Amino acid sequence: MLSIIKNDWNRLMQQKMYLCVAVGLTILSIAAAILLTNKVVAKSNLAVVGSTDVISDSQYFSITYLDKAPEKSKLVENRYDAVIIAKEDGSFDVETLKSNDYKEQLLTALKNPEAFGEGKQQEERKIGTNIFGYMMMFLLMQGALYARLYAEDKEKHVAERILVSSIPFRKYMMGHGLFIGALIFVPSFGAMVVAKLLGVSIGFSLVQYAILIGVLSFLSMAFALCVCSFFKVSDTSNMIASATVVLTSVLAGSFYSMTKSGSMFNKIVHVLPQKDLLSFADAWEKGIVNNTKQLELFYVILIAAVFLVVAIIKTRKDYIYSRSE
Amino acid sequence: MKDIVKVEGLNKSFGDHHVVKDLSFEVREGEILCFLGPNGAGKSTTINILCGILGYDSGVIEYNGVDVKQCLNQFKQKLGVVPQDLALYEDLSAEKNVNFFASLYGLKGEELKKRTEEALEFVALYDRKDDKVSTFSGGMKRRLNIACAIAHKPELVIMDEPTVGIDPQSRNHILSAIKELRDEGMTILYTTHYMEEVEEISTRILIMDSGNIIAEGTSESLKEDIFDERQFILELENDEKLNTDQFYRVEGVKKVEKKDENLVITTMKNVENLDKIISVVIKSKSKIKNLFCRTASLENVFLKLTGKSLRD
Repeated sequence: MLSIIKNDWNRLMQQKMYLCVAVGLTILSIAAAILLTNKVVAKSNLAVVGSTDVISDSQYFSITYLDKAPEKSKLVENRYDAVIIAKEDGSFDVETLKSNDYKEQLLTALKNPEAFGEGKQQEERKIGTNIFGYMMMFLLMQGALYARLYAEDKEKHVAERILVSSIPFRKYMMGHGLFIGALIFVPSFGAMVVAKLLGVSIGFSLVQYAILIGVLSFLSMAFALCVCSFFKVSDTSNMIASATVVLTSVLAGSFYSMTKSGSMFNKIVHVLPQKDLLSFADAWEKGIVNNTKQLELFYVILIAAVFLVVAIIKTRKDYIYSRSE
Repeated sequence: MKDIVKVEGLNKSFGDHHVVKDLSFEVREGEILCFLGPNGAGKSTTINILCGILGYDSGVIEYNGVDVKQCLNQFKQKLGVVPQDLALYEDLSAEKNVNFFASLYGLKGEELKKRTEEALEFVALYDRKDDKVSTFSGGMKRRLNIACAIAHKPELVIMDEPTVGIDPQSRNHILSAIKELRDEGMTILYTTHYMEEVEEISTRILIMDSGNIIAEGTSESLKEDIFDERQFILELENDEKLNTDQFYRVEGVKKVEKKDENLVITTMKNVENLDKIISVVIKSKSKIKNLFCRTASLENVFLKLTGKSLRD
């Protein structure tokens, strides 16, 4: 098995650019997550008419008090996101061109500003989950990149030569798997250690990061091996794995959540392991891990294990046959 | 010579297609056993079964008298395979390639280094050991392909068309190397499409067709057994008065034909009649410019046995 790992390393050293780009992108994604979290907040611009204590400026709202309602064109121009008109009986009229959901959110905020703030905080990701979400796609893509070595073994018929030798099949697959997993885990976890040492706020503890990045590395390795086991040409498997990772990571909301909680689409997207892993990380960071969240983590590990088993069975079927059937 | 590998009653089907049919043969210690057969004869399937990468439906394969199912790892440890495809890492140096494949057989440290160097020296690539394989010519890659299979000093080397697509100089080098391996005590199982290679290196030949072995023996014995004829080719001058019917009076002559400027006389191999054929020519006042004797080639043997040429 060490021979396989050492050989993979020798081969990767002949293509250093791949390694530099992959690790560089991961580090950049971590830096971007740290810089962007809590610094870029899209505040709603609200115009309030008829009262001056309806709602106050907060991290969510920027308030402008007016004596009379602005023209509708101001909403069209996006000068204001909504106009709130306070009535004498204490109720409100909310005028907006945005969705009904947004209107409902505003009404909630007007009725109970504290509960709205707490709800918003529960909804929003914290910095640790953001960092993890940003690096997710790049780590999954790294799996596809490093699994090239395994795919090339197949493409160049080297796998056949290796597997007629006395090395056991399980050691061959384990060698590739460990190499890919380690190469994904070590640089990204190392970057988190460095960030911690530099005093940057990274949300999770290093142990938590080790677990989360470990699970993600396992998923990335297993998925990449699974895809590669079905194709004879390394470029094809690399392209398909990368495209799938990009699409599913965006859908799962690794950069920005695209789904409303409770919606049907959100439930469908939960099939994607990235969504479940992010959901677990979010709950873990906020300290609200319950049975459902634990199941989400278990689901991710299970999916990764299934990918790995499929990769092993497919490769075994292609290259190793029992001597008598 | 003892049998290293013994195959008995081997059968393999792919769906309804019975590729290997009740195949039995043995590989004897220290021999170069050449496998000949047209495409689809079942020789690659047989080799893949022997290499352990393809299963079989029934039959027994023994290695040193023990069923390989009982000693698969020991068998693989003693096996070297030179695949037809160049199974090499082009981005790595020759040394790293040999080193890696040898390490798969458990070689380590100084022993691994020594065996790697020996294998590279054996195929005359030691001077280029640090160069990337991608910079090698086709012949050099073929030689390296062999080095990767023999560095662990296997008892049995299976070579599947190791000289495909290379220049004559590299081919000669490889053939000499194979004979040298045999002299060092290795046993070689060799498949090729080139009859001249078989004639040059084989100790024994197995001819396969449609999943069966249809002939077995040395190159000479196969020719002897299959053909009882030889041909005399006479290049003549002033042969206007020569009556070819006269040759039929000579004992053993079976056929006389004029081909271009030559007279081709087919005769029984075991009848000594050349002097009588020459006297017929001299009596007709013709002059013999050249005389050739043609016996059967391995290609003829193959054609007669299988009804097709080797590259069909």
